[in-house]
Amino acid sequence: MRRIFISLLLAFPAVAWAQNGRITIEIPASLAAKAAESVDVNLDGAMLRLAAKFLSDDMDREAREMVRKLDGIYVHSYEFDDDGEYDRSILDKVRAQLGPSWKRIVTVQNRTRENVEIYMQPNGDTISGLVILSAEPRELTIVNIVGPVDLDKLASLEGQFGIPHVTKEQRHE
Amino acid sequence: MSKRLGVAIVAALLCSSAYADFNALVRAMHAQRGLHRVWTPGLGFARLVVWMIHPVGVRDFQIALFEGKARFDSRDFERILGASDGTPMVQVHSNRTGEVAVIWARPVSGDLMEMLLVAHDPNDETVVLRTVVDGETLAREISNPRDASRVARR
Repeated sequence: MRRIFISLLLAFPAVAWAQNGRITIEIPASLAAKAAESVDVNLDGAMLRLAAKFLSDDMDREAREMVRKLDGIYVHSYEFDDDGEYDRSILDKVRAQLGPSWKRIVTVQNRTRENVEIYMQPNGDTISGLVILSAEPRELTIVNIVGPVDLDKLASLEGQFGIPHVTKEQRHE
Repeated sequence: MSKRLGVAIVAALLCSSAYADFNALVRAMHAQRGLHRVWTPGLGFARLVVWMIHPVGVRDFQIALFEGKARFDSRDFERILGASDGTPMVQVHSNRTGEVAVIWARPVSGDLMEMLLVAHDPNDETVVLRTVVDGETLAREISNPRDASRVARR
């Protein structure tokens, strides 16, 4: 009984962690070593609330309000010199971390170009987290946005905080 | 009175720990063979001016510039600081050029943030910068993290 109690206590933080929309993105060191350029961004809630006050004028007020309510933005981006230089199984590892509470809402697949997957974690009427996996032949980007996300305003975050452009028009610019 | 004293002590502790981090990085650069510090005359006066007029949102700064060839990666900088500064806010690394930029940041008070930045070019120069900036300056720098290494060179 005591063991069960201790196991529950140990498991609780992991469950709470998974439900608040944050995922642990474990990237092997070999990936960063292979990458021509890598960018890691770790912005927690306090930092975002401060930065949100001063975000560029291009971003409308509601989008700023959304950023202010977020608990974190975590971006890992890797750029490679040649096609297929990274092992795509890393994406499976990230997907494996998304429990059943995560739902895939967008899939863009192309055999030769970019593949984009967007997952969200619904929490009642709101979304408590979002994961974007963008895999191009020479670029891999993993984004985890934690906190209440307004999907209508999500596009306004593209290009900010290291988040890649995912909408078509902006990518072709 | 005791509340003010408490705030002052916390602020002093925060600042002293940031000074310590800056100094730890500078000492590590000094100890690195191949690097030598470039002394810039008038920095003390410039700091005084910054304290008074806060140009482009900067409230305070300390800077150390090193020239020469040496190779560090972002993990080296994290090792130097130990666990005192936690996860860097931004890390940019280029294997093409060997350039590394790492930014740590923490709130100080109100809209002010303290940033500790290292921009390292293995074939040219290494800049260690500690600065207290307002949120606007911070937002500008993190809106495009790939440009982070330019911060120190400006």
